[in-house]
Amino acid sequence: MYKRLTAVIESSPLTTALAAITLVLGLLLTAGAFLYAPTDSIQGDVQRVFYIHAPMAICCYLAGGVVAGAGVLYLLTRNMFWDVIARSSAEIAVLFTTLVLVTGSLWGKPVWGTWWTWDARLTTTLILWFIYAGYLMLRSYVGEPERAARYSVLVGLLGAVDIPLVHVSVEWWRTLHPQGVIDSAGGSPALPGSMLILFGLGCLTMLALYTLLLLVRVRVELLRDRLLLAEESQLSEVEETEPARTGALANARPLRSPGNLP
Amino acid sequence: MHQNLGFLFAAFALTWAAFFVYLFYVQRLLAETGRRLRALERVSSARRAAPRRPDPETNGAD
Repeated sequence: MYKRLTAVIESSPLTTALAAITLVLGLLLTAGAFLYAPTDSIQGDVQRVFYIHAPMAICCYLAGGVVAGAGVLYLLTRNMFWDVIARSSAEIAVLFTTLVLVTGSLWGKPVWGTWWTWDARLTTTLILWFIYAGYLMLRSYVGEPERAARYSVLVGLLGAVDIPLVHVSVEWWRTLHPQGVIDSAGGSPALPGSMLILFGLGCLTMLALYTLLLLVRVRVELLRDRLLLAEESQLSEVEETEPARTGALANARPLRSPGNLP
Repeated sequence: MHQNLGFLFAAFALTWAAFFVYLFYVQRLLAETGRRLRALERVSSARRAAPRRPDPETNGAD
C-alpha cells in the first residue's frame, strides 16, 4: 500500500495538474474578491480579506488534523511514511497559521484600530502557531529519526487539542473577533449568497493549495530519506572494498533504519 | 467608497507572495535533493563497474 501511495505522491503529472488547478482557482478567487464580492456596508473594502483569511484558518485546522492523524498512524504502524506526512503537514501548518495571523492583523488595524489584541481567538491561534513552530524545532533538535517521530506525535496531539479551542473560543469567551458567520447559531449562514459563493471558492482554493504544498513537501522528504539510505549503502560498499581507508568514516554513519521506509 | 484598500492589497499580496516563495523554496529543495541522489547513484554504479583494487596487505593475493 505504501509503495502505491508513494508512487501517487511522486507522480509529476498529478503535481502539474494540481498546480494548474490551484493557479486558476487563485486567480478566480482574487478577481472575485476584488470585483464580484459586494462591499460590506460597515467595514468597507477591507472586509474582503475574509475570503482568504477564513479559508486559510480552516486549512490550519486541516493541516493540524493531518499532523495528529498521521502521527497516531505512525505510532500504530511504525512506518516512517506516516511520519513524513506528519512533519510535512506541520511545516505547512506553520505557514498557514502565520498567514492567518498576518491577514487578521491587516484586517484588525482599520476595523479595530489595533494590529493585535489579547483576544481569545487571536491568543489560541498564536498558541497554535507556537505548537507547530515547536514541533519543527523539536524535529531539528532530536537527531535520531525514530525518536524525533515519537516525541513529535505528542506535540502534534497538543496541536489537535488546541484546534477545537481556537474554533469555539468566540463562543466560550467574550471576544472582539466576529462570531462564526457560516455556522451561526440559527443554523443557516449569516452571509448573503454572493459572499457565500466566494467563501466556498476560497475554501476550495486553499484546499487545493494545501494539497499541492503537502504533495511537493512529501516528495522532498521521501527523496531525502532515499538519499540518506543511498549514502549509507555507499558507505557500506566502500567499507567492504577499502576497510582501512573508511574506518573513521564508519562512525559518521547516519542513524536510519532502512527497514521501515516506504 | 474605496476604504482601506491598502490593507486589502497588502493582505492579498503578502498571502500569494508567501505561498509562491514557499513553493519555490520546496521546488528548489526537490531539484537539489534529486540531483544529489542521481550523482550518488552514478558514483555507486561506476564503483561497481570498476575492477576491484588489490588489497595492499595481501598484495593482491586474495
